[in-house]
Amino acid sequence: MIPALGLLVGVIAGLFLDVSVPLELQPYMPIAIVAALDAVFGGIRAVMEGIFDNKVFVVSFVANVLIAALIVFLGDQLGVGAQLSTAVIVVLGIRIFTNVASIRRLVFRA
Amino acid sequence: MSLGRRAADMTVAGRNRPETRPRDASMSLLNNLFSQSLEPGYAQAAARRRSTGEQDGGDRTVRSRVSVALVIGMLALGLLLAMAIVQAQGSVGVVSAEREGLIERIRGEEAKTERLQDSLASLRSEISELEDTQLRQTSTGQSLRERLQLLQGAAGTSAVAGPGIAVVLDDAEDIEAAERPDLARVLDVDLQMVANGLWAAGAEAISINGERLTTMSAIRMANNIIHINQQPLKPPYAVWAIGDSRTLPSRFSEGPGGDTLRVAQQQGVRSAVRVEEWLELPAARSQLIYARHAEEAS
Repeated sequence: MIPALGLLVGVIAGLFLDVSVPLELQPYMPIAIVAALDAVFGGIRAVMEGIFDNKVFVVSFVANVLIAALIVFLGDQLGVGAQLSTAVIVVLGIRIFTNVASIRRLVFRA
Repeated sequence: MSLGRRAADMTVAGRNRPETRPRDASMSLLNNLFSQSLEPGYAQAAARRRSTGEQDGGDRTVRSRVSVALVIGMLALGLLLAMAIVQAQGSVGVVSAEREGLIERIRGEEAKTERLQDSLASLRSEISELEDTQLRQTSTGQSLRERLQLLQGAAGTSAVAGPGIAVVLDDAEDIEAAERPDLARVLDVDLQMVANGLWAAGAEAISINGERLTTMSAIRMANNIIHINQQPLKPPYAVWAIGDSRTLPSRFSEGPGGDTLRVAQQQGVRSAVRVEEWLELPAARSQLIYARHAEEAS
């Protein structure tokens, strides 16, 4: 419940504070968001399974975002940015989907 | 040791019963993704806590700290999401505004071109009128004026009138229903052949939809639209030709123009040839800019 409130507050803050992203970082925003989503859903699932760990969550969150952005950056430099971001999206997308599915199973027991 | 045994097992199994190989062995990447969707670190940390013997109390501190890190993570995620949304919407607005601006500029330039062309035409007619009145004043000028009019009529730079024929071409009524939709339209080749046939049949001046054909006229197709003198035309195409209205129709029909019309008719293109008592053909807008009279230039 409180984490959901955190998400809401984050969204509202982002909408009203009008934080602008530097132009050079803009291509990495979507990838960073997908990576953050992955870490957050992993964390929620861990909480529900009773094995949540602060250190693991923080490290996975920061590392996910940074590595995803780094891969895309590297791909852009090599000229395969689109393909590499597709790869990142596919891998993280599958993980998000699986994690949400098990959260759903834990919540609804079905 | 166990690894070696497993490897031996696998080779034995592989030799004797190849079907024991897991069916989805080629999908190990996907399987890995699915089975390790939760960070393995969580399970490891939990196992470590259990082994170090943190019991009830440890569990509670973990629970109470759960929210803080997760809430901060959620906050960061929400912030990122909102920023991305704001940015995406902002860029959409910028792009469409840019496009609007470009469209407006194109419209403005088009209107300007039209105005300039109009003023050019009126200035040209003024010049020719002035020329006319000047030449009319002397007897040598009078004969010069007649020669000039004849030459301009032949060159297409002055309006002419006289008897002739009108050849009207139009696309097939239902282009999509035609056998060859690409041939059911009037093509630039058709108009080229008709114009050529009219010249061959003795036409002295030709215009297509009000565009006078001169020695510099090109009949060409661009993006499925026929352009003559760089002006886009719409079907039906009315080809007017001034000439001997008694011989022109038959000579045209026997020549290459008639053949073209008959071939096009088989594809569904509609065409008609009419004898006209009086046709008025406008002057062409073409003007020499670079070419100079050789004697004058040297």
